[in-house]
Amino acid sequence: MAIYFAQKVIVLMKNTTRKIITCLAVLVCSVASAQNEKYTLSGQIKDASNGEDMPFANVVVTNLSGVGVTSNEYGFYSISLAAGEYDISFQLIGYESVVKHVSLTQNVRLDVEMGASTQQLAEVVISDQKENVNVTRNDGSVTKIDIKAIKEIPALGGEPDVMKVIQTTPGIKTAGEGNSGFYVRGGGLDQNLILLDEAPVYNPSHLLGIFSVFNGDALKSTEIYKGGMSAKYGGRTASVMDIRMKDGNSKQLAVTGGIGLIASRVTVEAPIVKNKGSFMISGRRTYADLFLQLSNDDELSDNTLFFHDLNLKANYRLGDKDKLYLSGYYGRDKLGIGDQIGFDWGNVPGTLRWNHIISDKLFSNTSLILSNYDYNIIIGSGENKIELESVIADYNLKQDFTYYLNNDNNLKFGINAIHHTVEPGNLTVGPNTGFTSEDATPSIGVEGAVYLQNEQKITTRLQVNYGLRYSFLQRIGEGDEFTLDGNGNVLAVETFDANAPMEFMGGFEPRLSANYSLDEFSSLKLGLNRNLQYIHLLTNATTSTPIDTWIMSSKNVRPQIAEQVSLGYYRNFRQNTFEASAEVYYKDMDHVIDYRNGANAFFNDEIEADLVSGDGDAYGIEFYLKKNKGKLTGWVSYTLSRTTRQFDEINNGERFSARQDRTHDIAVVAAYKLSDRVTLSGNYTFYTGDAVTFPSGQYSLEGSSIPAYGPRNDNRMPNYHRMDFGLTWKRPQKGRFESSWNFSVYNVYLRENPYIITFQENEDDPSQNEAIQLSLFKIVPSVTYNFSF
Amino acid sequence: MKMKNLLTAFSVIAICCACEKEIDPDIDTAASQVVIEAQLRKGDQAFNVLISRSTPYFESATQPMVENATVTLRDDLGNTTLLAHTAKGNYTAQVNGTVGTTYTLEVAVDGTTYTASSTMMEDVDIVNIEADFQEGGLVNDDGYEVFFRYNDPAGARNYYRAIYSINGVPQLSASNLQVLTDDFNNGQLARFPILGEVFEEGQRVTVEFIHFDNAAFDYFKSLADIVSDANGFVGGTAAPANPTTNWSGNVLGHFTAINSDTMSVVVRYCNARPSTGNDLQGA
Repeated sequence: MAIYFAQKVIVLMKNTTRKIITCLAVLVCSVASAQNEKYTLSGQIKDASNGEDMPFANVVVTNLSGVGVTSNEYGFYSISLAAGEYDISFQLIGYESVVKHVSLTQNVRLDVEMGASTQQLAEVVISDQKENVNVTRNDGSVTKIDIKAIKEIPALGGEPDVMKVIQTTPGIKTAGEGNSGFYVRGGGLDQNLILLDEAPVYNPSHLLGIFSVFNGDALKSTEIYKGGMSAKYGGRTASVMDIRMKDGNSKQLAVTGGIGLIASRVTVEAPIVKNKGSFMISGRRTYADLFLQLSNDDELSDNTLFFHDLNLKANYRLGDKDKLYLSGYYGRDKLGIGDQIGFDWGNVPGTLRWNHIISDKLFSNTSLILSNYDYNIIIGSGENKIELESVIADYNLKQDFTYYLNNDNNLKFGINAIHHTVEPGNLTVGPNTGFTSEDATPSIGVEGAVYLQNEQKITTRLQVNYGLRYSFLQRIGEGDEFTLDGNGNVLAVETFDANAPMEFMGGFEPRLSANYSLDEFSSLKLGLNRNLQYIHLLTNATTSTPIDTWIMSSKNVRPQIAEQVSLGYYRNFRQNTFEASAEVYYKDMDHVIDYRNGANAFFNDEIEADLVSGDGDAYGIEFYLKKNKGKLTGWVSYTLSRTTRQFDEINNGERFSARQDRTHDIAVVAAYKLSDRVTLSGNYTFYTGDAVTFPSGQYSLEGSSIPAYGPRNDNRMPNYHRMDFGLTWKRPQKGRFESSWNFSVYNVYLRENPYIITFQENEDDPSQNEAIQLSLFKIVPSVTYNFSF
Repeated sequence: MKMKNLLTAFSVIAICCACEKEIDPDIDTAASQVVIEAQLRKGDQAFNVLISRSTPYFESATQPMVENATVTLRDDLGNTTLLAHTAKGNYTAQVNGTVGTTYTLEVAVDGTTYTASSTMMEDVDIVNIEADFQEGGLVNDDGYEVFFRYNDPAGARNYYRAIYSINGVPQLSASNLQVLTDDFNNGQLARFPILGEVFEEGQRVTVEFIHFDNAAFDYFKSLADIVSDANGFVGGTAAPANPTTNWSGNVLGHFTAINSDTMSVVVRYCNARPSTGNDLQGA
């Protein structure tokens, strides 16, 4: 009897110890009750029409309430169930649900293809669970853009642009008229991590921002995280914009294209080996300059002004468990005035990715990423030529794992190392210029991170994602470290040899997001995040340009830190016809960078001495109402917010409004289906003018009138508002050939929105000063012809 | 052909629809500020300080002068000179400016004392001045470029300003403010062209080449950024604010010790041959 008891205790202890070890090993304390005889169902979810991987699809066990998982970003899913008979439903918005019957007596691999739903079906199946996914999913502070829908929204020059569409959603504000840059919840332009297939894009603008570098035809999905982001993301403090390119149609050849007044584009997708591999290639070019060359006026025809870009992607499946992806982008803007001035710039990000299914529960992704951004300025020619080149180059290695521990815990962990090189200015000059050719010392650093994240279902109502990231920057020589006094004067310089370790800095970044379902149609979402940023963009505060300088953190430039908390209430009405949400946020920023008064950013060796470090805070409330069904669809977003900065060296240390402090920001986007073929669309934007510094007084110096300035950002630009209309007319389909005409008018009521306000002496009466407002686009009509087959 | 015209018209609409107009922005009138302008030159000559007050930006009212200030100049050798008010905000004294001396100017206005210091830098002379014919491009018309050469002292960083006059008329408009450093030609025979001006045959061009200290450079550089188009593509200031002055306290203007050299050239056709690039071929 005693022996029996002893055995029982040992078994119990063994079991308990095993449980505890498992607990510790995975940092999860609520291991689901250990059932015997569990099997794993896993596989790949793909689009039936073109074989694209389908990320974030829901996999629901219909005969077990509340049991389900979501596919990862590569379309892989894994779910563990006791032996038995199950009906598994695969669901994603815009697709017909697929239900598969599974007899689970061993581990099963089940790949699924889903087809796009037709309009009628979506309207009939009103109680389908997938329609309230915006309420039930743990994704507060996340905005998803439907790439297919953006073509119907009126756009400047008829070029559908995902960057412009995200600027109409709450909490995300445009950097100005026709600008691709954006501000998220009081953050700066450089605080957004913009990823194209995991590769950071340093400058998202073409033609000074009028177009973004992202060609809508080449894209598959776009998500932007304003807060509570997963621990797998890092490097920027305000947001993560995760853009994925199409994999390429693996079933058949498909061609998409568009011909517009300003630019044309074409995309070709085809299988390499049917159902095993495919590729996609997409190109774009503007041709305004070709028309300039038609001009008889030499001054016009000698000029160049265009951009072209190319998206490339290929993937190949090596058996059941391995898949390789190669994706790249090449874009170049060229601007030239005769042979006197030449200016060109561009991004070249590229990614080589290997997906490997290690076991039916463990998924691995390895990425080797290159990011390159450079610009060239050439002034003069021959012996008088001055050429300035600046380059930022990254080599980036990422290893990510997804481990489906059980149906309630999904672990993500990985490491990341980025080698940054910033060459601020390489000067090459002709013999007759009086200058010496010289390369400014490049800055080099390694940014590294490790992270662990768990997505946990605590109850059927409460889902929590929590994680921890540790990141660091190790600066590497050669280079100089400056010792500065409080006024930015250089007291001492320490010089480091090539490859010598310089300053090291690092920190922890905890992340949390939680979703609590109040009922089937409403939920509360909480987000907490702390983000560190080691690389910063210095922009001349007025507008961003291609020559803005990136600098790395150093002895004098501390990493920027943002800590944010957000809480949202999400509610759907009328059988999910309307989605509504209200979300409040508060963000505290440390080591924010700004210029000392009067600083000059252009080609400044000791730029660190011209920078000041301070703190910022931002808070606001975001309202969003979206109508998903019926003839009229669209959304209204409104943000009420405040963003301030404080620096000891500016405004005598008093807190002042950041440039992007916009009290009110309203956007309305609507589409009305007049018939099956004709859709009318419109959008309206209003926002409070930027906080800026205007001259408040004047005085005379050497006979000239000089403006005197008051405190920083004490004035306001006039409010911005604009309305656009668009009309999309689908032509009757002929076989596989589909085509449509898109007509759009940008700024229909001819609002003259200020782009720049210049203060100057009146030419006729120099004793009188005047303010001159420059408006960019009074009204821009455009027509685009789109086709696909 | 009609189609071509239509497309051209459209592209022009799309690119050139920018428009300008005068507006009346809502600006709070700031409190008037004291403005002190003082330049101390090398050698024994009259040193003048001008003290005034700023006026609202959109008013053309004349600048009020400060006539009740106490102005004192000290140097690091222990000399003290009191400046006397002569007329309309001008304060004057005879001072012998010497190389290597640091001067401190004290101005007391209505109970507040402002101070600024500046050091007289060493001589840097103009070696020669020439005019060179340049073909025009989109930016400039055909005409002459005037440039001068100087021997930059090796070692420490040097700061300069160039002022020029045409036929004796100083070109002092704000857009002609030209400052430079020796960042790319330290210790060399440097060549500096007068920027932003195309000269004509027969013009007599006089260049005053000023050598001053770091604080003076910061002042004139930030002043140039403010008066140039602040929204320009290259240059312009990153953060509009008053120039970086060497004055303590909330005051506008500057105090600068100046050491300069002057040389002239008359633009003539014989100067128009291409410069020395092909000399070796003839040898």
